[in-house]
Amino acid sequence: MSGMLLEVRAAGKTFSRHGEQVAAVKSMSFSLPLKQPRLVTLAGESGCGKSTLAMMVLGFLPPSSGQILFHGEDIYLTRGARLRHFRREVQAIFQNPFEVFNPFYRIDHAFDLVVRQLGLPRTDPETSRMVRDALSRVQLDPDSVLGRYPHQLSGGQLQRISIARVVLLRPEILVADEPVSMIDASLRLVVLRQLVDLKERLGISILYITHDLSTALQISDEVFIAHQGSIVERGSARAVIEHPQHEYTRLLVASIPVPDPRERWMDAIGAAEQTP
Amino acid sequence: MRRQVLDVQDIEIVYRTRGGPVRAVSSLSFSVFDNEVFGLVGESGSGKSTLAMAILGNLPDTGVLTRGRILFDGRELGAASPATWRAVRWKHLAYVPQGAMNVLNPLRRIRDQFDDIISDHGVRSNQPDWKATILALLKAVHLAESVLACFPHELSGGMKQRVCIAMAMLLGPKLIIADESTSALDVISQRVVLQTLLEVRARLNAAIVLIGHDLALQAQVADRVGIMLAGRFVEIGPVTRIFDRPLHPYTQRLIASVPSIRHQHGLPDVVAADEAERKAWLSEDARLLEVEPGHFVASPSVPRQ
Repeated sequence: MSGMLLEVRAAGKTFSRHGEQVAAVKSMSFSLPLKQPRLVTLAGESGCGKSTLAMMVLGFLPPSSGQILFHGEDIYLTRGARLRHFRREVQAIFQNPFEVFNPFYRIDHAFDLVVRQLGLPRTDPETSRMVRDALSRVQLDPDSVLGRYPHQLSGGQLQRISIARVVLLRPEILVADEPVSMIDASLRLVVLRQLVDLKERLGISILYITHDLSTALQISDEVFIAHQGSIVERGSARAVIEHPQHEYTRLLVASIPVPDPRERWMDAIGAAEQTP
Repeated sequence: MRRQVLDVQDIEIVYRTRGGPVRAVSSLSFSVFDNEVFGLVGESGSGKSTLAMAILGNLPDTGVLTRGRILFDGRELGAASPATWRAVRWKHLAYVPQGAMNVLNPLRRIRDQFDDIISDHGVRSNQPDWKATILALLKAVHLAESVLACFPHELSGGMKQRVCIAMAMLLGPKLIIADESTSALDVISQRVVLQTLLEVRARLNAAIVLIGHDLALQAQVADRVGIMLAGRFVEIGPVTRIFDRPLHPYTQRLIASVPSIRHQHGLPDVVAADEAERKAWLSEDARLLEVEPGHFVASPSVPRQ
């Protein structure tokens, strides 16, 4: 046993495109400790490999090289009850909540699946109370979301329903891939606060995947900067943002708009002509 | 005296739906001057894109301008014929939406798509000075000449978006409407695209209406900012005043919740507005009061003297 909850060991993923091998992830390594919930951010631009890594961690995409270990066990060699255990203990929230919910079913259906996974009786008043509690916890009025179809709800509501499912399932790990980038500013804080709450009150470790370093600074314990398929820098969010070491991190930090009209971008970057 | 490029006077826009008429914009007025960036901020459903479509004369069939006037360079185009509108768009009025890059024809080289715009607007494209103009524009958006020979799929998202900006600039517009035009790009490309837009603005002395939800971005580029809520403005003012002294509680909350890399670790302590407060905002008089020069706010939020 490695004593780790999750270990990403030199994981790489190569896709073949037009007969050419393209490395989406070259080699990434990091780990989440046992019994010590952490919120870590994997930050980078589109195409840096961060979502590919999320898919590998979730067990949806076998790595071309390296390993993903959950409680010391390679998740791609795990079968049967152990695999079902992994599936239950590692949950995900994605960027576009409208793509997550089946448009033909009412929201209740999403909770039926959770209830089945938890092995609870479906029509029990106790079960229904648990669902309503979970919804209240994410600041949704159960009566205004249950019985509705996904298209009748806003993105912010749907994203919080995803979080309510996580509250019920209480997995060990949550992979949150750009969970707030499609949500309006006034609700973004609410959702971020709930992520922190999942870690602090329910002890869920979170892998937060984003291009937005300013929200990473707000919520994460540790930040990994991904660039061209590798992690080029890691450290506390504050250290990485205030003292970026890698050239790419410096460029990334310098490009983040600061919400202060007195601190405007002074010099143009990327002024060199770009060739295709 | 600065020239008023766009003057929106007390407009109301109503959508006809199966459930009856729905008002998307009500009692909304503002104007934009040349060489100015006006930041239009609003959350989903605030009516900002409806407003953009009305300015462009491109409302869907179900949307009707039921009151007010929109003057472009002193002319009211509302009732103009489709042919007049067509002549004005691209030539004087440019539009760069979020997915602008998706309007590029995947089967034609960039060069041919530039030619299409020129010939579409009744000018001959084989004159040597067009070639020079196109090259200068590409240079302005930091792209090499070799881009012209490319098909869209050979370029990155940021490059395609900059090609679209170059196309929008081709005929020297007086007003550029950029609707979330950098939201789909990563931060580094976003910065390059915005800087390009600002440089082009200065060259053409054009006005820009920059529509977006990202307040940090507005702080970086806007001269004035208007905050929309439920189809109207709650506050309009110079960007420094809006950030230093927001007066409307909705603006105050929006600004307090913008994440910044200059903040300390931890989430800001902003309390979300409750139902009662939102209701109160929605029932406010849509006419704004001027509380200091150029700073307008919905009336209940005016500080007592």
